[in-house]
Amino acid sequence: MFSTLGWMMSLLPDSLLMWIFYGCAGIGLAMILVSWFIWFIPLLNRYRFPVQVLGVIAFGVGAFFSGGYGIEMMWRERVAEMEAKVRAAEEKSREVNTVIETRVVTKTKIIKEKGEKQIQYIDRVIKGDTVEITKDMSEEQKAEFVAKQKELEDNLKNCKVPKLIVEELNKAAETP
Amino acid sequence: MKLYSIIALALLTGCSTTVPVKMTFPDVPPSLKERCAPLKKIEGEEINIADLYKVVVENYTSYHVCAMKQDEWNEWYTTQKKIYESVK
Repeated sequence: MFSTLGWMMSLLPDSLLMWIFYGCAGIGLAMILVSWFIWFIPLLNRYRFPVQVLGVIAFGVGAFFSGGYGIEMMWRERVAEMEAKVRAAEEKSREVNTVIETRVVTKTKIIKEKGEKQIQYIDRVIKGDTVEITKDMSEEQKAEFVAKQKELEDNLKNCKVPKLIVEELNKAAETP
Repeated sequence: MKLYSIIALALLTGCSTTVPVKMTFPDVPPSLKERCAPLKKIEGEEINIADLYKVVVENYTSYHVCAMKQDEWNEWYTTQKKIYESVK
């Protein structure tokens, strides 16, 4: 019943509703005051009780609805304020998600490229494809690089990694 | 008169309640939900130092990706928590 009443009330302009409620309460109050004064007027004396009752009812109804209306308006305002806050926060949250998602993709690419480059570097040194690597080196640096390259070649020819080490390394790579 | 005052006061007193508007905590971006890649093992019979090096570099790469995602997850959570708590 109250929801239907609320819906009907929502069809009326806000200012008109306020005037109706305040008017009702005002009329009720006036009727209560009048009921006290007519006590002294002999002809109207007999209407005192009905006027007083109607006055109390009108005042009560007016006060109830104006109070309820005021609270309703206050909550609507707060809900609208909260909804705006939530919308702004959700938008910001989506932006943060996009920024982080993009950053993760970029960083993953950079890390993987770095690893691939390091593997490619060693492959080229093993194959002897070192022109690109040594092109900007001084003679001293080149000599040092060649010595390291020879050390690697000797190591690859003569030094196999013991099976025990490989097995233990593989064990270490397993998730406990 | 006292009775009128009490009735009027009772009718005009508002009820305190919470605003029924809530923000849902956002979902984690899919890239942060991925599991860390398992570490690679050394395969083959004759293993030289270059083979070992490659596997170690690949595992370092996996670690760096996983650590970066962990940092980003923390960053994501801290930022989203601040945003979520700002709506109160």
